[in-house]
Amino acid sequence: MALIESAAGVWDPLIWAVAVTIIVAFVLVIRSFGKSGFKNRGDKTKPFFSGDVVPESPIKAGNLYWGFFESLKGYYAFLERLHSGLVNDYVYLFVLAIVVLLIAVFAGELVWA
Amino acid sequence: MALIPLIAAAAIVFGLVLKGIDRIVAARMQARIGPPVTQPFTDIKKLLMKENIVPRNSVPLIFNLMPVIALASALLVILYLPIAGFPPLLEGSGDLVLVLYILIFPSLAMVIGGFASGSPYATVGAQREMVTMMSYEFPLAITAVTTAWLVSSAGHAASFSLYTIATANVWALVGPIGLVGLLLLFIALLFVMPGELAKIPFDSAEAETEIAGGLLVEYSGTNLALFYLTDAVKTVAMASIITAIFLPFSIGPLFGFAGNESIAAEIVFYILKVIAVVFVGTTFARVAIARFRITQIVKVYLGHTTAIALLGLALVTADVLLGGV
Repeated sequence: MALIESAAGVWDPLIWAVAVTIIVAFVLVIRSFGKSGFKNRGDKTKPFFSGDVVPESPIKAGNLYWGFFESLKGYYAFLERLHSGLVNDYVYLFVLAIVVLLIAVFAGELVWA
Repeated sequence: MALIPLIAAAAIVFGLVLKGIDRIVAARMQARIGPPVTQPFTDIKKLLMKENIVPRNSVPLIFNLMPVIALASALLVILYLPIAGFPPLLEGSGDLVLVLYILIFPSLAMVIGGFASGSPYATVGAQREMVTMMSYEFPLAITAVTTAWLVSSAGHAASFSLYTIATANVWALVGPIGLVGLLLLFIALLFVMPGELAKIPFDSAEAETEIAGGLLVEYSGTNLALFYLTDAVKTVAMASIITAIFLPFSIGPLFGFAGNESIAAEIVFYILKVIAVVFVGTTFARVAIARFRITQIVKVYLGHTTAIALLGLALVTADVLLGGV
């Protein structure tokens, strides 16, 4: 009834919403079997940091993708070099990208034909 | 819809049994006796009796909500998967693309829960989990799209339906070149499995010996039990996806089973296939290989695994274009 269809895929958000509701209710039932709350005594609620003083803000938002940037730094260095700030360079890259795209599209058309 | 709680309960029980088998097999490979197969059930029972501590630096609402979302989304995936050769419960109302989207939610919930913990260890773990997710999604998407395209090229309608992919049997749709391509895609998906399940060697987000459990460090009691169950259900989901795409074989016709005998045989065969996938994809990998650093994880997924998946895609495409030569 609420089926969303593309050329190949389907999704029924209505059925999905009903299923989510039932599943969440099921999970909440499981959760209700557990002990709720705790006795707030001592350092129980202090974040675990191996006994050391917890730093104020050790990880900032800028560090979020550190592992990603660190392992792909060669790729990002290449991208930074491309960003020279000269409009001539950007237009040249734009034309190059269009040429590659057109070759890909027409080559694909030829193969499928 | 009345079957949803039953299927959810069955997925949880099967997932916990799989965890028990995984722990025994891993222990035997390390010359240990290991815990009984029921140990995960005991762990859950114990966790549900423990205090559900909320750290003082946390955002309590998000901290408590994320375990619920993680388990609910993991269970939701199961409803869209063909199990033991039978159509998914919600067949026709969602396909492989939806499954891949929902599969992101448990990991994302763990990341948000980690950030909401207010702990440096959890923040580092959440950051690593985020980077791991970004790395394995690409080879996972290549594998999914290639198999769906292959099924579509063979003339099947609704080619992104996992049930269609399973019934079409991708191995029967290709020639020798395509067989090599599919084998490479199968290997790529097996590489993605331990990353998706945050198991060694791709568990730098939790890394007990380094960051004391990472994004789960502040979770205890009921909340930790829900994350534990999420891991169990995700194991069933990932193994079932791999089984549906690459191991869709039936045992009934081979032995001439019919009726209830055939149904029982297919269920037993499905369980054996899932155990085999879990052994190769997680147990063997976590025993045989040491933990990767986060930078190595990115290189393994975006470098090696993506290259394997792209080569598989190229070979399958060549096979289809050459007409299965």
